[in-house]
Amino acid sequence: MKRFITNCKQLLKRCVNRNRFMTLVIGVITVSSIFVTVAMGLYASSGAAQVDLSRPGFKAVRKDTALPDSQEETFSATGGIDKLTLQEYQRLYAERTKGILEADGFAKDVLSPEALSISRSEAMTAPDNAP
Amino acid sequence: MMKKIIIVMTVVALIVGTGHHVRAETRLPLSLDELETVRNNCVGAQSILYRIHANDGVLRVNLKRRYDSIATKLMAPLNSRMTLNRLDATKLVATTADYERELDNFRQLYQSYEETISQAIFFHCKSQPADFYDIVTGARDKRMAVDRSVKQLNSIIRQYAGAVKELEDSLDKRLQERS
Repeated sequence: MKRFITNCKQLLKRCVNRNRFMTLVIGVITVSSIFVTVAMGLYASSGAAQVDLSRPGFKAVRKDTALPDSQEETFSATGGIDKLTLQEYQRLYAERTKGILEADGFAKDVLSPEALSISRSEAMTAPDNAP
Repeated sequence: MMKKIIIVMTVVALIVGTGHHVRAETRLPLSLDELETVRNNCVGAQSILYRIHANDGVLRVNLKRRYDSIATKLMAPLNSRMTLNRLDATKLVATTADYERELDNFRQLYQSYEETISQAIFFHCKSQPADFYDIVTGARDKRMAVDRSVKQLNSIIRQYAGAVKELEDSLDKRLQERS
């Protein structure tokens, strides 16, 4: 077994010395592939893939993304606290949270077997899943 | 030495290899008629799933952006201002911590749901209708879990508003006591 490993090592050395350029190219491709695999793994596992609307399949709905409002009123982190400030804060808070609290989000049961027409009962017309 | 390495690698490969092929048990076995219905309608179901996946993706991005905005532009500045004014912000900070925790939970739940629905979209449903049905059922359960997380976040948002109102009332009381 030791002899076999030694022979393999010597053969590999000879190949590398004869074809240095090809070894460089193969080495670069291998290292790049490893980095790309690691990067794609991080992309999938970190949750970035779920918010990446540039992926194919999201083309039709990309325009529905709400753009961040740079003119949005902000509440300062410094300053005094009195009744007026808190009332102003509550007004801002109610305004900012109104849309989220009124939306039904993921409440609609759009994945039921009936909605997808994969149940035995009479298939309903699949609901229009507009956000 | 080589033998030991080979045995260890074989055992590791078996553990890793078998681990990936755990299949969810069908909750209720489907009848032949049901399997046939799934087989016949699954392609249409996959196109519906494709649209749902896209719409949910936008909903998730919009929701997360607004939730993040609430945390960074509303909750954090008030907590900071309370601390700077040496007022008791314990309840507000605790609610903010719950909010951040639930937001992280929402992100993880959505990720799991998105992976399952993506699996259903690209599954060979005609050849494996029972497994396809299981995956869709799993996606449905996960979507409901995401919905529960959204409701919990909304509840915490209301809780925070309640805490701010309490703070306003306590400040009012203090002013009245002084006068």
